[in-house]
Amino acid sequence: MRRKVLLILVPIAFVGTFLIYPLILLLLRFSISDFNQVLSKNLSIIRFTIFQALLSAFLTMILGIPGAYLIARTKLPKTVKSFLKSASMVPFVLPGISMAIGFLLTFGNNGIVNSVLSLFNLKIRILYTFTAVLIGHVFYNFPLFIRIVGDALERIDKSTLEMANLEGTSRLKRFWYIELPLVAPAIGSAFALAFLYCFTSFAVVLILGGIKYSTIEVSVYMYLRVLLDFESALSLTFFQMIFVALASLLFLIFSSKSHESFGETLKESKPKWAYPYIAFVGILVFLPLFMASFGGFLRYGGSFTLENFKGLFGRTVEWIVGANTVSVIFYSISLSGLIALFVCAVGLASSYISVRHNNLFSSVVYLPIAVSPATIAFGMVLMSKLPQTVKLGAVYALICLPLVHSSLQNLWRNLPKQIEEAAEIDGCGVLQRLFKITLPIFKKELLGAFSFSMAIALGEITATIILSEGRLTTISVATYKLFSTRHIGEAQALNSILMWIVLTLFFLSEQSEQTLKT
Amino acid sequence: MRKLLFIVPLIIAVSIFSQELVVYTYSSFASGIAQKVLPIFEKENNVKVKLLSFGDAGTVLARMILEKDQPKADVVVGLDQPLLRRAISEGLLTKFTPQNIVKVKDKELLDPQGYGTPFDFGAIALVYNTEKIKNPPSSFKELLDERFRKKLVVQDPRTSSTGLSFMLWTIAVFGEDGFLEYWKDLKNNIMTITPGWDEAFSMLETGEADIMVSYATDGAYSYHEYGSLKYLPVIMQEGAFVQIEYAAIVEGSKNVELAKRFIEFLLTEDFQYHVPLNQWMYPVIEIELPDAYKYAPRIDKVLPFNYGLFDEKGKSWLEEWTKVMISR
Repeated sequence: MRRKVLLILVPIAFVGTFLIYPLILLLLRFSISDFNQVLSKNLSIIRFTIFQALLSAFLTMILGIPGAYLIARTKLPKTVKSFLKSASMVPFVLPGISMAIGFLLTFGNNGIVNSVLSLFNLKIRILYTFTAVLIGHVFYNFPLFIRIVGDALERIDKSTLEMANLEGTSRLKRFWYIELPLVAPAIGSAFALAFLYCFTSFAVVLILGGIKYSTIEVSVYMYLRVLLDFESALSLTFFQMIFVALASLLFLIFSSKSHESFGETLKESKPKWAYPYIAFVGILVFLPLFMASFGGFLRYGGSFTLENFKGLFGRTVEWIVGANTVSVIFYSISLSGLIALFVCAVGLASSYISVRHNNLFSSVVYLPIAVSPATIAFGMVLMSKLPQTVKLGAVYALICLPLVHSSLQNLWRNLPKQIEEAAEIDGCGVLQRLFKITLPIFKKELLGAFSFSMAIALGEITATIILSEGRLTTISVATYKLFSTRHIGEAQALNSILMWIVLTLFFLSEQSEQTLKT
Repeated sequence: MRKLLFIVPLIIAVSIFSQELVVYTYSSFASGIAQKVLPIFEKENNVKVKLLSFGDAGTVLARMILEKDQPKADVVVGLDQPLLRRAISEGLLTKFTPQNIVKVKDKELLDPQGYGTPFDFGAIALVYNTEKIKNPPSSFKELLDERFRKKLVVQDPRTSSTGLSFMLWTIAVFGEDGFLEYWKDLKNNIMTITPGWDEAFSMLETGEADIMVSYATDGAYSYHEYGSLKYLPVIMQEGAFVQIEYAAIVEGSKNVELAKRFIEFLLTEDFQYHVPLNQWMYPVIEIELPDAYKYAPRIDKVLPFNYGLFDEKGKSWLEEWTKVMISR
């Protein structure tokens, strides 16, 4: 019992100290202005925000589940699988500008899709429509389903499914009656996260949607960063927090049933729909991603070059950034690695509580999604006693936590209680159980969560710039400095390097799982 | 222990008497021009300047508002007209007029309230791809022409300072009662709005859009950096919208004398000489412009703008703009 209280306290203390407390400080300073007035002014934007988030999450789910199945359960070569899986994670940490370039080079006027279509005298106009917003969101949130639902599908015990196969059930029927109920909680978490991330979407809606669309997050930015109207920004932030809490509670109630299953994965042959599906998703998700990695090769004026990368390791960049690129990369990787370790620890505790005790606890952990990093950072400015690095680490951790929490929930869901109980009876201590049993079994999920957190910490820029006082140089800060001094080519080259680092990180975490199994 | 008794007062003494000036500014100032000029100031005055930067100027001011009770900065560098006014009305600054102010050639640049010292200025412009557009728009009216249909990309004034300046430019031209009508017409020619300058520029580079909102010195910049004249700026006939950058002493500074010297320094040749090729803005004192500036359009007519009105109505302008532009 004491242990349970302790485990509950860890995430609550963390969210309380670094999210709620800074917000309270801001509130004491500025108070909330006319809450209703701010809401009514933004009413149509609020409605659109909710609508597009629901639709986007739904579409991502429809497209994501087959992908999760393909990657988790079919007999694709392992390297191909790891590569696809890792690549699909990259968008999650892709800076807005790289995303924009990826989509422009793919679906734009002179993009690759239109260049191919023009051979047949065709042309499509996807960008600057609502469809583009939806595609953008599928692109960004696809990894949630691949990761969370994929892991759950992988853990379904072979024997259960083979039994169904023996009885001659069709694959579709089997999926509907056996697999779907088993992975429903995972789908629920993935859907909740996708919805919440689309709810606070920003760059995708503005750039890809054209002039017609806008989200609440854009209004928050306007009040906070342009008008320095803290009162209105806080009003909207509180609306977002209440909404996120209620919405996640709703999802969680629906997906609260949890099943234990743990065993060997059933590997099946590729279904007929695999190829058309791969082609379709390839164009929507992987092609823009592939094109985005070319951002660094764009010469001023639009043609291709290697100059930017050369420049990145030259004197000018070192001068602007204040450190050489190699040490910036090294520093960023160590800092984000450290933070990722911390987040995984908090996430282990929070996901344990939510699975073993109360699923609704998750909504506390989802709260950070509702608060933009800028707001958290400004609140932390008021916590003047705290060292800079602690504040930064805490912001990164807050941003990563919802994701880590969700992907680790699978871990506890699938770990049969008996194993824990058996170990307890054998006189295993809590820590011993954690290190000898839980962690080794779930090395894969943990490594995945670790890479995710590290990648997010590597990519975060808003809070970093506000809190670092220009004295801390991570990759994202360096990119910002290069962009702001108009060294666009070099900045994009650095973004490309960030993408490759993240890709390598995910790939390695996937690979290590293989070596463990064999 | 005895050693400690000796060391502690020493440290305190050193920290009181050693002079360190804390300057708040935006990122590109810190990683650009500051690195060239600060060593000069530090050497001349035998002091250390601690430069802290926080992204853009808006963030710098937000930070100052939050720290109002315990100000850490002595000087703030880089507030433009609306931000300067806001800082004054928040009571964050101290009045100061440097002696070097006499060197400022254009008195229009001065802060009428006497808090800020102008150190550079620039103008918003439309930048177009010369390979695609032979006949660039010369006025706001011409910008509505059918031939620019879906060719223009603008930054969102709710998220970008460039975008905000462009919106204010239209207000300077059409007045607060007329600018929304103009935007309604302009909608046809806008391909998309981007959150910031970078994304807008990427649309020019990928050939997606042909005209973007940017700055008057862009041609000079690309000529100087890349030897390219592919993208050139135009300033609309109706008159230029000028952005002036100010430096000011922070209220509560404990280094006022040093802060004053620093602000005097910003108006010396030593500093101003580096403005054109680092800040990509125009210097405020008489100084010969570098060769590349032949590709920066001359600012003939400056549009007056009432920033008092902005303090009062800026928020509702943006909300109205949102209503007009973001509607399905």
